[in-house]
Amino acid sequence: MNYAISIVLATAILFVPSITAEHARQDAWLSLPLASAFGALVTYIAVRLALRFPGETVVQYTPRVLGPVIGKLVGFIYVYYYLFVAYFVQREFSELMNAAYLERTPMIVIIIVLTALAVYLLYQGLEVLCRVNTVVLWSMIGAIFLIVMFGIKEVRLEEFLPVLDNGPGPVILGAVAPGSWFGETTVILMLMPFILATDQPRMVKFNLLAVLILFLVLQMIVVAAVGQFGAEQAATKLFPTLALARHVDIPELPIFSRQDAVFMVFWVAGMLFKLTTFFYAGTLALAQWLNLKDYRPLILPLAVVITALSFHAWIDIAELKSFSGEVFPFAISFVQFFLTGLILAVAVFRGIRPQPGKGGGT
Amino acid sequence: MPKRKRRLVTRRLSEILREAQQKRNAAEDESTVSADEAVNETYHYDQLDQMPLSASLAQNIAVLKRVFVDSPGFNVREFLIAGKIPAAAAFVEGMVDTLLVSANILRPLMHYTRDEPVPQGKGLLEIVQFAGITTAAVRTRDTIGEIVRDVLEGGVVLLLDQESRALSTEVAGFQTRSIEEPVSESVVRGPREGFTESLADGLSLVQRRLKSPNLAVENHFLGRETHTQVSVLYIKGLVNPEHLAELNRRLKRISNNIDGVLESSYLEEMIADQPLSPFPQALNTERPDRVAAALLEGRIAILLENTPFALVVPFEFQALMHASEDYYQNYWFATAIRILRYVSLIIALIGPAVYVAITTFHQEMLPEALLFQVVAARQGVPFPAVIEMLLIDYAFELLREAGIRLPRPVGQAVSIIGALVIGQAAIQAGLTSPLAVIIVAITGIASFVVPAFSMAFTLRLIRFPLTILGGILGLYGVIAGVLAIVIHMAGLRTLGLPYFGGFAPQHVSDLKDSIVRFPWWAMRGRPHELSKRNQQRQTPDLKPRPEGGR
Repeated sequence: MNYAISIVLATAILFVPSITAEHARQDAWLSLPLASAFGALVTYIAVRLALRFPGETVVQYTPRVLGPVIGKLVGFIYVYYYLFVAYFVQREFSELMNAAYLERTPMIVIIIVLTALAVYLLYQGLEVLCRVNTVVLWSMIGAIFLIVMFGIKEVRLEEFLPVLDNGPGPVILGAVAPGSWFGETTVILMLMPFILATDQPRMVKFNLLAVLILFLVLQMIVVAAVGQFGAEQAATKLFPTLALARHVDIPELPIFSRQDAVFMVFWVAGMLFKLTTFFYAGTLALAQWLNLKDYRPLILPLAVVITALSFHAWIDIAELKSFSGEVFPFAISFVQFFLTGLILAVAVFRGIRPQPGKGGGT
Repeated sequence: MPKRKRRLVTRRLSEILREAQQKRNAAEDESTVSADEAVNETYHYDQLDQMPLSASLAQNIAVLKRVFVDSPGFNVREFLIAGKIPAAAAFVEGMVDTLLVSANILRPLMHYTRDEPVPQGKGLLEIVQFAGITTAAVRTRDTIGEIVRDVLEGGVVLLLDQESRALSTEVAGFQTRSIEEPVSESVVRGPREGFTESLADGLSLVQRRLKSPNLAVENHFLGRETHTQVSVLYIKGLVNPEHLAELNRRLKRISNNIDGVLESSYLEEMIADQPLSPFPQALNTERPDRVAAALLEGRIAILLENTPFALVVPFEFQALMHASEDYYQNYWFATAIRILRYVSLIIALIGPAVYVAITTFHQEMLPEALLFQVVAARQGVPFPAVIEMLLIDYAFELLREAGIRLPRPVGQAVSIIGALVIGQAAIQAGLTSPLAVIIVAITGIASFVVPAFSMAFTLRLIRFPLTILGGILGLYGVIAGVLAIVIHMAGLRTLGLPYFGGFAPQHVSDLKDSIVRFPWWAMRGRPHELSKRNQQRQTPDLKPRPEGGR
């Protein structure tokens, strides 16, 4: 559960407030419940599908469900989907680093450091990843809480008025991007075989709870951002959460002002987990897609490939931001919602069950 | 006719002696080696253990003399039991208490005056063992190897004529340090006894705290040449048998393949799960109460001869942050102290790195008032912040190391002069800013707060690369470095137990004894990962309350 929260949280806290505010304006806080509902639906479908084949990953069973040719094709879409999110994360991360903290450091250096950490973490394996994550996640949520609390006195409720001024349309538009981020919990499709068999039945509950916690945290940020800066500013600021952190100002305690260092600590950690998770899922998926026994030999070559892709896929931060608002959500929603739902539907319809002897976790 | 009888005895005595001398000569002739050969001849226990004792006393003495040919202090005392039967006592001078040997072994045997005659050969050993010598512990031995071992450990081995077994007694009489307060882990409240170099003392110190027949020990002898006795202590029923088997397997792997084991750190490195890690992978302690507490949690303790430091495995990272006094002081206070320690851990790790990162890359993070101070202080310093920090840090480590190695009065002089030079003169000369000195000083003191020295060393070490990272990539570099350390630590295991046990994999009940310490009546369970078999430490309703109340 910890896991699902942190992978989504890391990227979502960056852009969600501004993207949502751009469409929904002062009604951004209404977009989030919608997005969470969509996220919960996607999560539910993904977990159901994963539970249907508890000992296998999505790449392993799609050929049986959809037939060898289409199955392999869809399998490859999943491989690409995971790697795509991975290099999107890389670029997103280095853009913020570059814009906010290390203006003169070449972006490639920032990417390489983060990727090197991810590669190290991957060689250590999934178990270590989960352990590191547990250590960091709760302090991350604590830090966000702190940032929001310090600024709470400046939240002006009138910024949220009038409610639903432009009708429900913008609210729904604003929900699309966060909804797709919530859907990133579909990474469970690759991780299910590694979850203890005794824990597997509880995964539906765990993942939905993760979506709920995530919703609360994001809602907190959106309310704080729109309330403090107003919808106009929140939408135009590139990284509202960072702005929130920088905005903290307590005259009596100057040392607690400007919490952006705290923000950076947990955000770097969060991005690292996210990158590692998707990178792991992508590497494992590719290894299984190619019928390799071990994914480790693929780690380094793939790290180089996604680093290069992250560098060349987008021209600058403006393009990245419009991409993450307009293209990215639909692209990944297609995989998360449509493909996953399709596989589940076909599997149920054709009555395909896991191969004997492959059930249970490791 | 008493006079005639005495003459008879005398004659027989001289005959016996002459006969023994002849046998001895014959045996020695047989096994004599040239001086060159003797120098090159080496013996190892695995080979000596294969050699049984012969029934001939002369032969056994000859073999022992050959094995110990140039050995310091080796001695064979030959004598006659009850004036009739040849026997010999083998020992090393200086390792045994000679008064005890003569009073408890030689005198009762030579003056054996019971009515029934002493039998020759068969039955003699039992008579000697049960009615002869008066030492407490007596064991029978069958091979040369066992005898050699006993003799070198300060025992006296009795060899008897026409007997292929020997009797071994313990009369060790070498000097050992008396039990003192442990230097590396002193406490305000709590027992003041520490282990000494004597293994027997150490075992008794633990046993006095755990008066249970379930306390078990397994002995290993490690090192081809040192043959160091290593005692593996655990409590039956609490220990995880898998951990125990794994530890024994690792110890067996080294046993005869290493030359010597002089300190527990040899073992620590040899049984580590991750040999390349800079982090301590066995908890070392001088305190028997700490060992007892660890055993009660289901851990395993390893005690060695010749060092006061015992090892505890498996353990979690948090154990390095706990001191035994935490459990003897009020739990509110202990919790506060633990929080203080964790904060100092962070300061000791990233203090200089954060200073470098902020002054170099992120001045905007400082509040204005502080920023002006920092800029003003750094005015005129001829180095970039990272070089400045590394230099002062280096000088600090220099002082610390010099202070430890030098004789105490000189060491104090060095630290005073050094402190003056670095603290005052360097600042006045404009070589460094006062802020940097303050940071280094705080960092240094913070690293002393970490109770486990082995952990403090690791902190000192990884502080330097982190500082450099901070100088290259700013806070991002520091965070990346810290994350790399966290990843590394999360991957560590001791005897298969995760290093971050308690936090991750998370067990809420284990957190009662982590950054906080709950009162004893609330700590119902043993650490979760450790004792899957016997979870409950005490009954749940121990919280004190008035009689009949709720």
